[in-house]
Amino acid sequence: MIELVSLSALPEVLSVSCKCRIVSATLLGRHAASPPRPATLPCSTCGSLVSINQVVPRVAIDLSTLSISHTAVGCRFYIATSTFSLGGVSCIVDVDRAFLVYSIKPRSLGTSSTKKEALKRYTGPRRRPRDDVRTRTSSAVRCLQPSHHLLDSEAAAKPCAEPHVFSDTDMPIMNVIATVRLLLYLLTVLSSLCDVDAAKSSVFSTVDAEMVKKGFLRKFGLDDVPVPHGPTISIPTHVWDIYHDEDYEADWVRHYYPKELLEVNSGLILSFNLSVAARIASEEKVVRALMKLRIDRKASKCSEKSVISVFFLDGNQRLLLGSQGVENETDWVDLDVTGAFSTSSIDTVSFAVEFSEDLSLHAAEATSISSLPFARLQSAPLIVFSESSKPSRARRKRSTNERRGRRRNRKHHRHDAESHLCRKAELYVDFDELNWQDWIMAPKGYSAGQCIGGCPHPMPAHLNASNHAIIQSLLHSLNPHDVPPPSCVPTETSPLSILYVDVDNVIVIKEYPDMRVEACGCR
Amino acid sequence: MSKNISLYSIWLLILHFLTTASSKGIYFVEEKNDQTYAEQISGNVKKQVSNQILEILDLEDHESTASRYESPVASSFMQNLYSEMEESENNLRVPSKAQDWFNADKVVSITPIDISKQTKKFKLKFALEDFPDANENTLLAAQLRIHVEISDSLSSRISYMSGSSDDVQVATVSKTDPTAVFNFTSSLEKWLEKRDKTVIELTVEDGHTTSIDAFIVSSFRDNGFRQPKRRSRRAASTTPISRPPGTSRKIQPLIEHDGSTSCKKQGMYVDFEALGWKDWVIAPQGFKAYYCAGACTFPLHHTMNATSHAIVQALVHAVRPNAAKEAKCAPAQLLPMKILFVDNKKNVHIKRYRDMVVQECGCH
Repeated sequence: MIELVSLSALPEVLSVSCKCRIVSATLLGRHAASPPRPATLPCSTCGSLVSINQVVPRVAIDLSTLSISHTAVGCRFYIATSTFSLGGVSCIVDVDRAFLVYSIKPRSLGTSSTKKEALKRYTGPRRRPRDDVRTRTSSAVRCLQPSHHLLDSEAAAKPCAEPHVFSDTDMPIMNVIATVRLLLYLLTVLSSLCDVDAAKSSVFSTVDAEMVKKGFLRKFGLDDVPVPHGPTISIPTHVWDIYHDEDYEADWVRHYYPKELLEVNSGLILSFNLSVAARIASEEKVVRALMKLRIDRKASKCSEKSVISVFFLDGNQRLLLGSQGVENETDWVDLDVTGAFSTSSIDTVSFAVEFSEDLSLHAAEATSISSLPFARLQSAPLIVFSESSKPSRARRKRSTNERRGRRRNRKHHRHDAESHLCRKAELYVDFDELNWQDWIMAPKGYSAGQCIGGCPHPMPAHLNASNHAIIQSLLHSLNPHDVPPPSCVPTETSPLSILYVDVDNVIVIKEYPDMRVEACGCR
Repeated sequence: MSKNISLYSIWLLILHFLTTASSKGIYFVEEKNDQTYAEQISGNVKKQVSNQILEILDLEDHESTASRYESPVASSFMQNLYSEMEESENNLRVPSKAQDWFNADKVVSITPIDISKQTKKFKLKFALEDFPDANENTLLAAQLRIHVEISDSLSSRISYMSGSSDDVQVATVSKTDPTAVFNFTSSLEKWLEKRDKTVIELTVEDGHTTSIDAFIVSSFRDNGFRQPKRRSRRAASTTPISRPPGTSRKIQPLIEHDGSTSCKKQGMYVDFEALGWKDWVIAPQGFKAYYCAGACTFPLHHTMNATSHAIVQALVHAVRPNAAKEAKCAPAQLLPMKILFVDNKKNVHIKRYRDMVVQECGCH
């Protein structure tokens, strides 16, 4: 059965819980004027991309590996923004033209009657069910190498050019129910293949949490919850060292394992795919890059000095980046490869490493046969420190543990008579509770703080009010109906570093600004 | 009889019209429908509002003591400077030479308390108390500007000497450029630092003219912007305004604060003219202060300009409504505003106030 539904034809509010699993899903929408060459958008979760066909231009975002697809209830998708940039052109997903194409694997085959009922109940007039199409797996969606990232672009983005009519006969589709909420630019899609429960849940659901999480991720350049593939990796000690070191200065730290590792006569050729993780190359500047090699020593005549050399492979050129002597006891060798990052927007970087005769890359003992190649890759990670090239606030010292935040609490607690006044209050955010523990490795939670209390007129001096707030407060006292009182909001915030694993086992330490409240005031 | 009644009602109508038109009050601008809803204030409330805004602006109640000589040259110089400053703010480029003037928090033009003519000489007296307090303000630059009336086309040399006679400067004036400008920064700095004399005397030599117009223009950076001392003084005397009964008039609410509108900038205008400041505030006549209102409900849309903390807080609020409040709509960026006004002593000031106008709203 293939289904193609224009969202404009869908009912306004739908809430359905279903017991099914989305195998693949693709959001299609029209995009701006045809790019000069087939552009690509990321499948943000699996790191693969769906190409945008030049002949039939469309934007397709693979949603198949969203973590919610594995949950039993609430197959809703949200797209928090309808604008994005494509090859430098800002686009708006036209909600009239956006639709979801997906295939679903039912839990059991005995639900077909319910399925039909659900279709009758929830599908718009444009549904044209087709018969006898088997459920297809996500392999039907072609994945290419990523090169661009979905961006939140300016709200003032120009509308896209010519609308294109979609013709999708080759996509595996089962059925679709979607909801569009224009005000929030939300695009909500519900699937209703199985047990349909029309009762709308008023409480905050996992799906809603997912939505907020995505909004949060999007703000920092991630499109989706990173879902690590393959065996779950452990965070190496040297990454924890960086995370706990509060003195380094970088907005992002990314830890890559090689995409390819080739053994050649004199050593190794390592290539790293930098673009798999959320990254906007044009907005970042690499400040430092470090290659770490775990070495083994061969029992040989130790007359020669142990040396490792690293070369940057730039096209046909081979540039020596550095050469380093290795101490006897050393296990890990750090090589500075910052020189390879002189051009900012590279997606793949390759290095040649040459060992002196007595050295070789550590052959890790694998726990199982299947993890053997990966274990070897773990001996040659690349760590890239980068800074946002956007003008940003004055850099403050990093802080990673929650106790520090607590210690720095401002003394805004006055005696009880003033307890209703604007002040900073405690708010501990537990990432486990928010169900974020699956992607945030550290911290487990943090003391975010919040601002509570009123901003009365006249404004007491310690409320740290701005001139504007004082005037607004005065006008509020004159016209309580028309002008609200000033708000009690954070006036000083500090950042928080979060360690998570992005796609393709890229370990990321990101400093998120404005994460915790340091002081509150009336604004 | 009926004619009388209709005449009478027309008269009433005109009267009503006049009263409405004359007192604009502080009013609010609803931008959505391009309509202005005026909230009138008058009498006692007006006085109280005026006083409180004066206090916010750190200005004194303006009671004109019109005994002092008012320099038209100084006024027009300050007005030009004010327009240039406004312009440079819009263009975002400040000529490097003008940095000390355009970036100042205060620019004051001080006229002499006395000008006396002796043979070929003018003695100028300036009062120390006219200048801003040196503890709260740092002097950036100062100029002594002397404007002479030259009748013929000949140029004239002007020299000035400060009281201690260690500083002599010479300038040339002509009919096309009748103002002599002397750098007065170091002299004024010394004087404000020492504060040993309450009056500074300057001697200006000029061979041709019979009358001169002189003033010192100086720019300052305000040291006390965030000092709690000033704030507490302000807060202590600021009292709630009680409206006389019956004057509170419910106008149609500009926005519904029930969460139906998402966080955004709303119109609010403060009218100086309506506060009775027309006589002494030269520019602006009022200002659009705006305010931020609207809901910051989950999910926070990207146009709501939410901070990361606001997103986290909104999420926690959604999971545990009792644990965290909803994020709030507040100014994300505020702009400064300048006021050009004449003080009690007829000196002209340009004063910059920080955080007066909402540029952008966001969820915090």
